[in-house]
Amino acid sequence: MSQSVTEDEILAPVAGTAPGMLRLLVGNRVAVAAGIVVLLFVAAGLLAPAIAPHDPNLQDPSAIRVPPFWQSGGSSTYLLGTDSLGRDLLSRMLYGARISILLGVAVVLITLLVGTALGMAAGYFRGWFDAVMSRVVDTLLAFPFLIFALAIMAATGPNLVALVLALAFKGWVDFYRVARGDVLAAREADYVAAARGLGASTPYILLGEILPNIIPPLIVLATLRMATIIIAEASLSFLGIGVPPSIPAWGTMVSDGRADVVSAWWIATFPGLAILLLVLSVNLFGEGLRDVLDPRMRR
Amino acid sequence: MRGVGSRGGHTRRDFLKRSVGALAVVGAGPSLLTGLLAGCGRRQAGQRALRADLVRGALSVALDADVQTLDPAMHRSRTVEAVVRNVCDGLVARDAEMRYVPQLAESWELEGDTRWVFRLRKGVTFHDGSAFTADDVKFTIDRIIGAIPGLPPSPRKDLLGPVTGTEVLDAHTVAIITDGPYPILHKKLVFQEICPRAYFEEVGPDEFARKPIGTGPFRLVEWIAGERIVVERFDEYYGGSPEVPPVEPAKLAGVIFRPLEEAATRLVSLEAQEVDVAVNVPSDQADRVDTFPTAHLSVAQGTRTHFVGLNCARKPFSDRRVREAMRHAVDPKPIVEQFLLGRARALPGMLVPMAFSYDESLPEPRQDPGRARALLRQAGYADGLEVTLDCEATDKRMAEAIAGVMAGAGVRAEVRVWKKDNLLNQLRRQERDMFLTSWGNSSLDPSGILPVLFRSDGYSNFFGYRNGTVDRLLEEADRAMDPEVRARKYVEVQRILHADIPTCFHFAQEELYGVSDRVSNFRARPDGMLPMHDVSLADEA
Amino acid sequence: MWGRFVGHRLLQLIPVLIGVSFIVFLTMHLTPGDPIEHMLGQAGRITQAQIDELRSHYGLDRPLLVQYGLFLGNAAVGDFGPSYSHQGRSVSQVVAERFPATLELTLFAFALGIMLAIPAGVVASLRPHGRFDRTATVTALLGISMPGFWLGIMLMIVFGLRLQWLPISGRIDLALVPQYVTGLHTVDSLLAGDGAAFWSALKHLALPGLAMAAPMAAMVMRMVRSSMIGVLGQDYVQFARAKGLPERDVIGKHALRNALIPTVNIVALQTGLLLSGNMIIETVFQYPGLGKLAVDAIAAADYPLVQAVVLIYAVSYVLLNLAADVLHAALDPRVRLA
Repeated sequence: MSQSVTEDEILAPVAGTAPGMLRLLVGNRVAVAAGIVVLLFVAAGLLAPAIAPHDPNLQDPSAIRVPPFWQSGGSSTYLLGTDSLGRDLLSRMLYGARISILLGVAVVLITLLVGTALGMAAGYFRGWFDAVMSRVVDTLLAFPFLIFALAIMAATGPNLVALVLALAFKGWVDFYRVARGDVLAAREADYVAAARGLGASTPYILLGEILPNIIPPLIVLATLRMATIIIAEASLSFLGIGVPPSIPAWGTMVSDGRADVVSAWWIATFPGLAILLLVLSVNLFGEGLRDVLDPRMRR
Repeated sequence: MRGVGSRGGHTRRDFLKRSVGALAVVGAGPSLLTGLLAGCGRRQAGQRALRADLVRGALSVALDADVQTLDPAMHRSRTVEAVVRNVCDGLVARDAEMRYVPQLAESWELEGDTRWVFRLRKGVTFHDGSAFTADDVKFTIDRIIGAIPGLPPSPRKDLLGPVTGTEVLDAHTVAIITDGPYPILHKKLVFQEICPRAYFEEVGPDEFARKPIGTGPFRLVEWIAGERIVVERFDEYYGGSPEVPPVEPAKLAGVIFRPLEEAATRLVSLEAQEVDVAVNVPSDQADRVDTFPTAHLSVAQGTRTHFVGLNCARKPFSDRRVREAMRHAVDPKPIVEQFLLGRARALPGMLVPMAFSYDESLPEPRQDPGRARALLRQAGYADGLEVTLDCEATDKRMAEAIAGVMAGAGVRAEVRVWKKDNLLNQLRRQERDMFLTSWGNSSLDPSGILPVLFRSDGYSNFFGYRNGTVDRLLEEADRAMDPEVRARKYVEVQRILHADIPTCFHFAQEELYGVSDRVSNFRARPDGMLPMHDVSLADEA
Repeated sequence: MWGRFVGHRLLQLIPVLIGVSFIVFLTMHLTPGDPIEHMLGQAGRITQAQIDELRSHYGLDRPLLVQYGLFLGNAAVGDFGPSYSHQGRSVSQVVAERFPATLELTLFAFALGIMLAIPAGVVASLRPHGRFDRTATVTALLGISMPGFWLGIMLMIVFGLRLQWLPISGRIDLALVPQYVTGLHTVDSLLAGDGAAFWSALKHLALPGLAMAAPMAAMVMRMVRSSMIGVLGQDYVQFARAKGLPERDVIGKHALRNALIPTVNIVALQTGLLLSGNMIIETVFQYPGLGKLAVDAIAAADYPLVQAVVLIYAVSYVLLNLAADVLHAALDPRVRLA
């Protein structure tokens, strides 16, 4: 028990003062920079229809495989060049940010909700539910996610609903484990015992007392999971079983540019760099967040 | 699991022991797995390393698909056929100009309308040294048409049309009997390779599919699925068709076929000189191959017709005006020029110009977005038409190009991509409205494509297309022994199809091969075969 | 104690495998796509009787649960039945042929990852925020954030094509294929004492192995670095230094061993990811292993083959974690196996 008490002691002051956390976060310059980059990507995605210089699916047959503007043969019309169908890469990348972030957020939210709910229930009630869930989790952890995604996508063809399902299939397990562990610890904590003694209902104890205390580590995890999901989505799109082809997506663009990678390097390189940069920023931001919100994990 | 049972303790020696124990568990993993796969690894113990002289003197080919069988009778794959054709000869073959030449048959003649008598080449042996006889021909044909009980049905049966049986007349004469006249039997025999009855019966169908033998210029050395197929020169080869000199054993020490399904990997491997021939170069990469310092491009006219199919039995394409609008909405010619860089040819209909009875009088398609819009308006789609354009992954780029052009005529087509087999099955069930697909017809005879797709009961009638006149004409053409009569019927069918528009946007791509400069005598062929009999490699210092 | 622990954990494997196989079974059977249709593919006129015959031949006409029960019963004795797409061959044969390739690639990537990560992590920890540490940390971050397929493509272009240092596809120079013993070309060539073959096999493994190892190496390096920094600050390390032990011994004998303890589980977890990354890397490099086999098998609706491959992944994953737990206990006397 002593362990959980010390954890609570550590957690209490930080979780208590929001301004203090903010100060900590702002002090981490790398995390701030990363956060700004992430925001820029989000803005690019949200504003894509307004700021994209071209329709991302518009084909210009007279401008096929135009190199980026700084190369000879490049043009200021197509800043980052065009692909093998004469579509503007910059515009496609902006729209690609949109779908990447949208899917990432959707999947993270779904897995966060499902995982937290199940994890809290398992941690609080224990018993047969916990036992069954731990079997399910063991099974899912041993299951190669890509096979599930491939099987579903091969049958239905690329579509967003199936894609979200495939990405969320196993992603909730991480949240489940964190939520369950934290609830297990909190269940014995004084404040919960006090609430129980005062006759608080189970839903109140779970949602009103415990949940606020376990949110910080979940937020950190959600951020880091976002990075993984963006890569997973891009991988599926790269294999042609992710985002439908009518929606520009980075993974698809890398796949499209693959055959050209020697003669027209920019087609596959830029979207790859975009994935790298976004994921890198999300990771850095998530780690900064972790240092602030989840001191147990502080390095 | 030795060492796992050691007791706990904290000394250094103990630590060592524990580590060994732990490593034993780690090591047990793979062996447990192998155990899980119960005794299958042992079969491979006989696998020999390849002879170095064979590998060094072999030509290496990057295939665009993997093979699942090497049994000539149990596949519908052009890749399998291209590989197997080097191991097993047929009665009839085609030369590089697609002329029919006798191979294991010396000659043939028709007795009546339904009995074909083939005289076979003498002194030919299979790779195991046994003699090739009429019995093997009978066995081969009987197996394909399902006349041998106890063997699984052959997916190549319909390639032999109405063949009903065979008759051995003597050791080197065999008759093939058809149900009713079948004017193109000899043309269809190029798709069947002769298998040795004795060997097949000895090893059984499963082993035969792994290690077939034939009378061909190369003999199979090993096949490792997904990795490589290695064949070596068969020194006792009879030389092949006398009409295709030289008549002698192959020049190459062997051929190594490697499945590299990704076009990008094939090309990079060719450029890095890891392979000598790369099959199926994407059209838009063709010019790049010509810039490789050590390789060049080999080109042949293709026999596969790509087209946009329209479902005549479902809205919106049940309305002929909407179908006609599609024809005007997008013209294959400029798209083919721009996106396939001229490595393809727009066609007015389903047949390629090389094909028997190609109708030259069909008008060339012409893009006319205004007319397309007008037709759509008449049909009640004044605000434009929203449709889905289904295709398989390899056609995605072309489908996107088509959708892009169609937008100019008020057609908003969303491209949807499927796995190949998956789409094919949906098409057969006539579940899709508009789709970009293709049909290969390397026989270059209309009977290989028109009845299949456009007869009311055609097994690949994707279009819900029903036209009694077409049914009748196709039936008559199938049975007409006079080529003139057949041609006339097929021309008429082509004209009706042009008027009914179950398909539009037809084109045929060139067959493009990337070939290393050290290869001589390799020629791209319209039928996609890769006969290596006459090919040789330049000696390198 | 150990025997019982391992035995218990192996028993736990059973429900996991049943669960995994049930998910695959349901996914494959409840989604549209009929193996018989795939089998017949472009085949010509097919009668319903032919379809029915094949269907009953493969037992596909029985109720789903009966099919699943039969599958389980047979799988328990290692019989996965015939493959639907590899004509005339059993699933076990097909898998056995591909398994060594994937095992070799995975072990290679694993070894490469560890060999890069541990020294880099240790050196970086000696001077935190020094030049090497910064470089290594940034590289590791890139490794974690880089999509494997893209890294694979870039490696192919740079090292395979531009520099022509390393081969792009294949497993070994075919003229050097060693006599088959284990199916792992590196091991077989060593057994045969054939240095040229060994070198060729290594070179062929280099690019796909590096692409596969990158994220794992990055995670492990970060873990080693941070736990080394923690350990180096501990009293007993300071004490060992004060005793005048050579720095090499301080780091090698005292610090590193303790720093590796928390690393072991990370390695196991990351190796699990390595396995799943293998499907994408094998596809990019056209590497003839299980990952590519799985991708193809799904496309062909070859249920039994998919089942077998998924089970292999699952077993590997569970065994890896078991091995990590055992190793963890071996390194850390405080941990008791229970």
